[in-house]
Amino acid sequence: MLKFILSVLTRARRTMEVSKHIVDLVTNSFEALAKHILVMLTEEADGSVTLCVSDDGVGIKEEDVVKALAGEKTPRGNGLRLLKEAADDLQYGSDERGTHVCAAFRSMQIGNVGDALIVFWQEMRITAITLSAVSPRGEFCFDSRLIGEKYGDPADIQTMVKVRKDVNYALTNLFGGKKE
Amino acid sequence: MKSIADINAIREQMRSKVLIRDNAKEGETHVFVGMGTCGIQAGAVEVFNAFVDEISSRVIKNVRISRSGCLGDCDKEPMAEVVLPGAAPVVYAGLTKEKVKEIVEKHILGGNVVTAYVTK
Repeated sequence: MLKFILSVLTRARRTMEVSKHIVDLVTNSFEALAKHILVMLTEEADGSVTLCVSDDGVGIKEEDVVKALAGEKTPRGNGLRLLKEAADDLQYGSDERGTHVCAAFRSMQIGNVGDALIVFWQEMRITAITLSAVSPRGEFCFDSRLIGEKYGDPADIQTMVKVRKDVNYALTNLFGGKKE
Repeated sequence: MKSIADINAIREQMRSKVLIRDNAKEGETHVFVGMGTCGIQAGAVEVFNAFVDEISSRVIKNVRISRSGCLGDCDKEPMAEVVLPGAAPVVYAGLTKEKVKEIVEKHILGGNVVTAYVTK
């Protein structure tokens, strides 16, 4: 079993919003053939933000992670180098039962998470994506398996727009708009 | 040398991609936005959402918008491939919200390729 943890501390360039990192990490989960992807976004009282993405995919080889962190082309591990540069702390674990990535930021722009989530609209019908967001102001949960029940026909583009608006609105309230 | 698990993973990955393409209804236009890391950095998420905004606000039916992997030319991102029913795929590069608006109006609605933005 392949299991490892990388811990990286860096005073980094902050080039991408958290929402863009979510797109990179969820793409990796799809590449690993995950059936369920969990995105957790947490803001602490001191304003620090933690992003964790977990999946039940086939994992990623350690040598691919090393290459990805070095910025080399790999079959999987997209965007890990950028995440390492942006985060104040990065924890990473992977084996054949799944992958878990957790990045902590002292302060960071959240961006529009709804815009990021709907990028996976077509795949959400095959793979479940759950978003859990928590801040001192409250919490919000989105589950792609409930789209039909809560928002309308998934084949209708207006449903996609509704989900985007709902997620963006909820997270703006939770995280108090864009953070610098 | 690839292990059996690797080969199975590749097969499953290809199967899911084929499934998404096969699910396209007949007569449906398909837009694929390149969502590799280089694309994301260059603004692919904004371009994807610009297509969603244009298609939904004009109430255009039978258009499916999906992400794709890197479209192969990181310097020209954000890129998107537009496939009209029965027509050859057209790949656009260096996209912005304004260019997306023009592509939806002229290509998806009007059937005329916007050659100025087609990747060389």
